[in-house]
Amino acid sequence: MLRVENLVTRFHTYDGVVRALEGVSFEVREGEIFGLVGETGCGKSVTTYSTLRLLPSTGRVHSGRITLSGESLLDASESRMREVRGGEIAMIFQDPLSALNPVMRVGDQIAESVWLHDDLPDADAVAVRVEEVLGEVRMPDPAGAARAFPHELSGGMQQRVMIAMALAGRPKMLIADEPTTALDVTIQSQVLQLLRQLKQEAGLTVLLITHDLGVVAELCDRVAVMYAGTIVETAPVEELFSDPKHPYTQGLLAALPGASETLAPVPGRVPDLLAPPSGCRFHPRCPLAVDRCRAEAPELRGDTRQVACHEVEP
Amino acid sequence: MKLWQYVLRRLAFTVPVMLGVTLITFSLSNLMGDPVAPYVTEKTTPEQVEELRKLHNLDKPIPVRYFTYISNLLHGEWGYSQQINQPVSEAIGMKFAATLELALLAFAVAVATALPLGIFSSVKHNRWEDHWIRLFALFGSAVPIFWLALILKYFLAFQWGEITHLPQGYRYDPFLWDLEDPIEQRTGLLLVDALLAGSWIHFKDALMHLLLPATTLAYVSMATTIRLMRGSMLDVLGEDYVRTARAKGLPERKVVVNHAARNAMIPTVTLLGLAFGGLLNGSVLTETIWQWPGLGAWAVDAMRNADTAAILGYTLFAGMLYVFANLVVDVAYAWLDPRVELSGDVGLAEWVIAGLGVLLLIVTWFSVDMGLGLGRLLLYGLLLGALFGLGWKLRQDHRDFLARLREYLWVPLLALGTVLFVVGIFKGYSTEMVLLFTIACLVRLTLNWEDFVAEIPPRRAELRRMAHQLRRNPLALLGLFIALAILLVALMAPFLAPLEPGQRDADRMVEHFEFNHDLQPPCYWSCTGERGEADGYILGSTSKGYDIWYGIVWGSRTSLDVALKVVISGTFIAVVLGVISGYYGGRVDEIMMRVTDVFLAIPGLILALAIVAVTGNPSIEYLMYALIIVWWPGFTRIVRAQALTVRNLPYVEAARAAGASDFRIIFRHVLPNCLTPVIIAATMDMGSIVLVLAGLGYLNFGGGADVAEWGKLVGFGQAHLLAGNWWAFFFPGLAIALWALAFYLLGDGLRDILDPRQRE
Ligand SMILES: Nc1ncnc2c1ncn2[C@@H]1O[C@H](COP(=O)(O)OP(=O)(O)OP(=O)(O)O)[C@@H](O)[C@H]1O
Ligand SMILES: [Mg+2]
Repeated sequence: MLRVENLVTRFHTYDGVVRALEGVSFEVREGEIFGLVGETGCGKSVTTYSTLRLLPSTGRVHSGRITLSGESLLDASESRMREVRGGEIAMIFQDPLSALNPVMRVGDQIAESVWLHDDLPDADAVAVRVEEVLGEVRMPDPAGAARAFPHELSGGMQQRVMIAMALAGRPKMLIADEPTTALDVTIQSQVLQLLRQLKQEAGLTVLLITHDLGVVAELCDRVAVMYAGTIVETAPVEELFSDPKHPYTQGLLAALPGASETLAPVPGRVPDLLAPPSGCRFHPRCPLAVDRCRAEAPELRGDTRQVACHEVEP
Repeated sequence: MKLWQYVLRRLAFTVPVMLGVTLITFSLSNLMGDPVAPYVTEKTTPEQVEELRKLHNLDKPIPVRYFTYISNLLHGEWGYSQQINQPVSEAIGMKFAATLELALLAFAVAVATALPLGIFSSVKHNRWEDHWIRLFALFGSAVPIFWLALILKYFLAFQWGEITHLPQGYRYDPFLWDLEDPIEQRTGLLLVDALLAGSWIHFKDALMHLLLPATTLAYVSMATTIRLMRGSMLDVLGEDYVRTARAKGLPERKVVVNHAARNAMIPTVTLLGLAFGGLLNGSVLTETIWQWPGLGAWAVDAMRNADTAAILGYTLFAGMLYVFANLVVDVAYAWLDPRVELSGDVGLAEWVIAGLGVLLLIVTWFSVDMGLGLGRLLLYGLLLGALFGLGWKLRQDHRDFLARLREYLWVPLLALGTVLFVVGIFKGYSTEMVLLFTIACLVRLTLNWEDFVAEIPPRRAELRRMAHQLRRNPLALLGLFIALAILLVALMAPFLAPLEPGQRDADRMVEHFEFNHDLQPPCYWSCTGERGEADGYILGSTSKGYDIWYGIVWGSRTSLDVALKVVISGTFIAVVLGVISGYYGGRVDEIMMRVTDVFLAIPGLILALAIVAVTGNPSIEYLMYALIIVWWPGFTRIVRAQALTVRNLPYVEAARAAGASDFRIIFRHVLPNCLTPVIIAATMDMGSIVLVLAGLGYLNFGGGADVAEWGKLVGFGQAHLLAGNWWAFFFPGLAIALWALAFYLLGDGLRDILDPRQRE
């Protein structure tokens, strides 16, 4: 459904060019929950902003292809992109309080999406629809919530509002960028539960971004591991956990004490994206590194299991 | 809490502030000048003077006089204005409508144009549209309002008056309104009255008269508002919810208007009160130039004639207006931002103070004596409370009290040092002071030599980055260039404009003029002397025969002198007070903030004017005192706010946990981190102080009658405006505008360069 190929995104800042993404490729299939994991700063959010063309003015997609059901998003007109945003691919963000407009009533913010992507005759119909989506996300007292301002709701409620806002445009796909990081544990599981239900009920395709491997194990069908702006491995979830191929993935899983812990560090430091390592970006920390890794960046090879490494086979 | 309750509460809280303002006006009338002086002539006998003193209650002790003053104010007796032979309260009532109409229209125009421009500018961030709007806005802050008014008057109302049909002054056409077709003036706002009477002719006449004064007045507020709006839009556009709005598929225009602008309005609105204060300041000058029969023009007349009752009445009223405007702003803010808790947490102390203030007013309204008694009671209670608190503290840690005392010894020492420093500067020892300061710095440097050396490499990198950013900021470069050019002119003054053979004091124009050569047109570069003896006036001369070129060149020294002294001593005071207030917080901070509240409640130019006018001392020194009094509160607040944030930074807390003394923490950690906003504000204020100085000079206050000062020169030059002698007001005003523009540009650029958040 959503296919990203060799995406290269850079930021032109005062300090120099930040090479945030260097050849990111993955495919999200219809009806699945696809996980994208990686340490903080590895470029997960930049990938999603590139997809919807929401990069800040300093950022630019250098090359690559992004297609949604065969249609190239990078070549689409701005007005077509506006239809796609919210109408076909909706997004929810990490910190719901800062992602909601503080001076606008929650209902009005949802209604905006409804007006944009739904052909409803009048304001009354829109109001009904707003309450309907608030009900869909299991919001207690939808009518009351619609009249509230974001700061009057709890964190879990805010994130439900964000999801409702995303659902309001009846999208086919949902990109959830660390939807639970800012929430406390019990509410996290409620929100994740909700995402799973929505996938089953509405047949929603979900691209779930997280750095929590527990969430991945619990929720995702397939998963891609990202490291410093590149995808290093893609696999169905069970296979990834039972048989990790890439040294980085192995490091991640080895460092995992329990089943649901956030990523623990692999020895060494995350590279500076202003001056990334030559060749394979992981080679300075890699136990298997050989000369070739310093010179040449590995490609992502394989079908159902893909690995980007010179030393291991998919 | 309901909105009206909130409004009521805010009203109650303005009472202490207004009481503070009356304290200022009261001390102005009593401490600065002799209150009976205006009534005394050579023929007054000592007995009569005594009688006068009695009549004005001057034989009573000061507290009694103060409460009598308050009681009189409450009963609407604001004194008697000799100048116009009318009670002050009546005069204010009559003239208020004219000022209000002008100010409201200007405000509306300013806000209505500034908001869209600010939004547009931020959307086009760093593109040429943005640069032009920024320049336009900065220029608006930099032009002296009286100069702009003169230019508009000269070109639009005088030179092209036949085409534009714009009047050259006054509020309406007396022939139409008073004789030909008088209409009922119900509100005193002529536009409204004309509408109520349904007369298009009257409306048009009033509007034509309003047009230029309102434009003049609006430009300055518009400029401030554009800058505010642009700044907060730039902040808001980076917020997450703006990205959310885009991710919804909202068109960019709606994202900007419905989401970004709506939020950016909030910080802008909180500062609109400030813009209104600027409007009140500006109205003094604007009304004078357009002979607008409002409060401002009346106040200036009163000041020129030492009509103390009128001056103080006006000052107080301006303070009230300003406080009221801020109240309106607060309410608007509460309405705009749903996150504001109307019942917000107000400390008990504040409630008590507000309540006591109201009580005091009520009691005084009924009886002066009772008010006095209550006042005494409160004062003693306060003193007792303070003593008790101190005693309590002492009891709690009496063991190391002496040690603690020694630890705090630096505070009074620092205060003493600051006073000495500031007085030293004003008394003409500035070179010595600078020298002393340099020596102190050098000593400190040698003591910490290793630290200093260690910091060189990172500093160098930082400097390189700053230089790079400066190079990419054309407006800041322009500012730097103009500032350096003006500095050069001030340095080279003796060569650029040589003294007359027998002249002793270069700053005194009286010693440098030729009475026969008044109103000479400029000869620019070709001053060959071929056109007769009057040649040689590069930029022409004024009606008094003062050489404008000479005045501008030497005036640059006056401006530099005043600006540097006021900024340096003001910064010093502000840094000391602000850092202590912000670092210690608590009660010290509370008191400091209430004091600044009171000073900030009177628009700056008006307070400075009142001080200079009431003291009646025309020397530059007094002028600088007045400017300092006006300037320190704002400065202090900036420093204090910064100190407050720095105080809670992790490394400061770490230092405190490690047991460093307050002295050490303040000087090693807090102070250095407060410097960026201080440097920016000080740079900007180098410009704004010269603007106020010029405004005072233009109104002929401060610095002697013939001192070479730019504002004064404009004042001299405007006299023959309607004879077509444009050069006499144009060139000195241009110098002021360039000066202010240079420092505003520089300050704005510095903000971009020094602020690490903007390192993209
Ligand atoms: N506006 C920007 N300017 C410059 N560099 C940027 C910008 N936005 C992101 N980057 C860089 O791109 C890299 C990837 O950032 P991104 O926000 O995608 O990380 P992330 O994987 O989403 O991390 P997190 O888990 O913390 O959200 C970072 O190293 C960051 O420095
Ligand atoms: Mg992210």
